Amino acid sequence: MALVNAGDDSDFSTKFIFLTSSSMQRHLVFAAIVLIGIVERLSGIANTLTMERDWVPALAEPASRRNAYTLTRLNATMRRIDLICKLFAPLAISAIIEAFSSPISVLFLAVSSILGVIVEPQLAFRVWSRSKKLQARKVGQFTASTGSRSKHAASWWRLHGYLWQFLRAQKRQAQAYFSTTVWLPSLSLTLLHFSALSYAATFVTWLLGSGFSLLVITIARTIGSCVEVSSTFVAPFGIDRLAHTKEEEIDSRNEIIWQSTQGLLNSNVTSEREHITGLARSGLWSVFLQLSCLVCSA
Amino acid sequence: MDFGASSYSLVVWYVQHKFIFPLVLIVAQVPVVFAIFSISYPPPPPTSTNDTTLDLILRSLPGPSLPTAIVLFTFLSISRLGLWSFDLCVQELDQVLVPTGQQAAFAGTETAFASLFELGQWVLVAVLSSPDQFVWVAVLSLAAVALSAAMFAGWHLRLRGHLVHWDRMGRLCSGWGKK
Repeated sequence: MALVNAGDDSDFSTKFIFLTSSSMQRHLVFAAIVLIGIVERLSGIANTLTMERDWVPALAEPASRRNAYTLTRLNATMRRIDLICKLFAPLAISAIIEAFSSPISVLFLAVSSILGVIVEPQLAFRVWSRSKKLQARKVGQFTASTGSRSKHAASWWRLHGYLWQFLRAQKRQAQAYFSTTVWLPSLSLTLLHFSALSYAATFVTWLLGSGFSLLVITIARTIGSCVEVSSTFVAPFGIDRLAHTKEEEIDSRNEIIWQSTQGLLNSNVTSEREHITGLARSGLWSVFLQLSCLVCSA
Repeated sequence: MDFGASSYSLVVWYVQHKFIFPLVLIVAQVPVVFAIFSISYPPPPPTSTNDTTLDLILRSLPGPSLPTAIVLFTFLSISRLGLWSFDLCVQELDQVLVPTGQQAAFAGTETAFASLFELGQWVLVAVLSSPDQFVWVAVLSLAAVALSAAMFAGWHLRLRGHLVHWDRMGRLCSGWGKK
């Protein structure tokens, strides 16, 4: 579609239609990109959850074995790689955009993303094929039987039935979540997502508005990221140090929780208890460290 | 009394009894006076065409004072250490204490709650969008972290029966008095 005689009044309507069409195309393309971004984000979350919560515990060695690749070390190493990538990826992208032209930068992003899609499943398949634990069929305990639901759906309008089934499934899942012994620590961790006191967009915007220069904020963010990476060294050390307690410290009042976890622990119960104790004590000091520092910063 | 030797023995006692984190907490709370200053620091006035030369000179200064910036960024950065250490601890507790077949569904529900609270943060920021209202966003954020700490402390209390070794603290105080 060509634009001719832009100054001619008779062609004004043609020009308007062209602009509208072009604008609409841009909006459609943008909407498609947003949609694909949503799918990518959901897939990314699913992939991360599968790796962190399903694969890593299956592949880690028991906590009792010294100098082995235990769950604590495996988690810390994975988080370290993740945080380092989050620190350097924006810098690398900025450097590439600065050094090369825009089409080359876009091409680089596209090629690196496609390479990730090709390489990651192959590596994941290689790990899966070498682990009998990963290949074992899993029995999901969160999903209840669907016999009553199909009958229920047949008597209702189909869409309404699906919605009802979905809501009931969510309710069951929430009930199962709150029936575990660790729902309180889990919920306390998720609550931290409410806090705006981090180097995220909201806080950075306020800092800029308060008169801090972009250079100062960038330096502070970089130092903050380095401290975040250091937590992957500090946390395993803290867990290991705080795991060892005297026998006299074990209180009979907590036997209910210990008994409820008994079936989940390995044969070496004492070692597992020490491990959980180390996690609980380290978690307590970590969250209070965060709280006290935020009191100072606020 | 030799305060130097006493201080050294106190540090040794703390390290020997694995009280590293509380020691850090006590040190971290010292500059709270600076923090109050940081809260009450007013943002610079908006640019106007009627600016005097003095206004322009004041605006050309490199933002808030250096002590405020140092306190703010230092403690905010250290708080990230607490956050990610806590994240690793809770993640591992989930991995150890949730049965294998329930791991993915449990993590999914946990992520849903995290997204919900994140959405809550965006709603809060949208409601209190003015820069001078950010103090309230900070206060509510701090309240959320305090609630989170209280929840985890409650769970820890149920699990272990205590939060602090008061008997050891008592022994420390009595030992200190004898010296």
